[in-house]
Amino acid sequence: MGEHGLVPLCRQVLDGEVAAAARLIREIDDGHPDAKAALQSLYRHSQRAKLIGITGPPGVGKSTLTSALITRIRDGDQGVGVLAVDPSSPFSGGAVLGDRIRMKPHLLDPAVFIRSMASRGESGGMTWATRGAAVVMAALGLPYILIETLGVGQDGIDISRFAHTTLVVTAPGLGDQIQAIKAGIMEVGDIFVVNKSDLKGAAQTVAELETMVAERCAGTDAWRPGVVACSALGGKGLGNLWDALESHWAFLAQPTPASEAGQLEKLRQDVLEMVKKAEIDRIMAALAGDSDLETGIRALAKGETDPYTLCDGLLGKLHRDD
Amino acid sequence: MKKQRVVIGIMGLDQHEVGALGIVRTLRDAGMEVVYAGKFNTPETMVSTALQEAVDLVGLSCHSWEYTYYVPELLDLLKQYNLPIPVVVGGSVITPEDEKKMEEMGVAAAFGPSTQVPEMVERIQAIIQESAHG
Repeated sequence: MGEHGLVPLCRQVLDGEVAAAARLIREIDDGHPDAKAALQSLYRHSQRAKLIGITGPPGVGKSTLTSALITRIRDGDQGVGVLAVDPSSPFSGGAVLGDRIRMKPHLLDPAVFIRSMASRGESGGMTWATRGAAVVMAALGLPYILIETLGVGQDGIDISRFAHTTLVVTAPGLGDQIQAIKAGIMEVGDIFVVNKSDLKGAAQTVAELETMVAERCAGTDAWRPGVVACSALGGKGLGNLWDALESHWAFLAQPTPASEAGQLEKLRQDVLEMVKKAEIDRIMAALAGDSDLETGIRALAKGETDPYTLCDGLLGKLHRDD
Repeated sequence: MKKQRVVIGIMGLDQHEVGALGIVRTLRDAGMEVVYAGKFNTPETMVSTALQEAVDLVGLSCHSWEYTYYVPELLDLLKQYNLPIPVVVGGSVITPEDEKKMEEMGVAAAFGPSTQVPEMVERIQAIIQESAHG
């Protein structure tokens, strides 16, 4: 472990101290200058955990499903970390983080560590800090990490590049939202969960998803995603969901050339996404309060220039500064 | 970037949620990250939430006398866990006498029913800043 300000917290995390992990996650979230160094040193201790992403449109029961999965993991006497991401207001920067109230049965279980996080303006359904928090929880020794993303429709596939298994959750009777899934996150689900399976239309939703999966997997030896109906609230179908998760992990443990290529592609996309976000942060910081930007915006408002010319000018200036 | 992070909850069997949700929205609009702990909390669930969520302040919305029963236990537990997190209480049932009692007990601020919202937000922000520098 190199020398940096967060070394003591990192050591406590490796010793299994939840309070230290909670504080370290806060430092990562708040952009502590040594956050990256801390994550670099913890990363190699984080590789044994299974990361399960839980994504899907708002209101389909992701938090309740997460709570049901916690119960299943605890039945096996294993520890579990939970990261739940909710949106930040683009106006005030504030956020209401309300996922814990769906996980009440687990609040006093010392083997369950639940952390709510705000998206803080990052797109993609999860954030740099969420990824860091998962590394911290894994380094703490938790064997399973559940990552519940923002409610997402067409965007929000970052989680699928980061997690080992991504659950795309939906519910019956959400015709339009099913359309959104078709167009966007359909391609990233390792398992499709039709939650609220006691509601009318569940069988039809399952059938639609199975048809889409069949189309997606025709003629390949890639993983064929399972479609599981369950009622997280009623505790139904969760055994099937767990079986589907275990099948996916068995598949990942027995690599074929196609799945290995898929893994490499996933890592490539994941790293490129990190590069992209870091570069965006750098550019935004460089342009904050830039005088050319401010005068350019005024000129644009008066119709004296166009946004393309202004953009080119700013990019040219950034490159000169490099 | 540093953000102020708080948890807001309701203790015991108190069913009144409107006030809690109101202050949650107000603090969100003041730029804070607000973990909402909901109803039916005990000192243990509030402390466990404060620890896992690494918050700067614990806020209790009180519309039943039960808070007078739970607050001392909550303050004790925070000490036991070595969590120097300020606690504030606010709500319709807080009388001026209780306000005084609470503050003597170690509550950072008690907001009775006549407290103005902007004043409450300012106090909360100031308490967080003081505790960060203390």
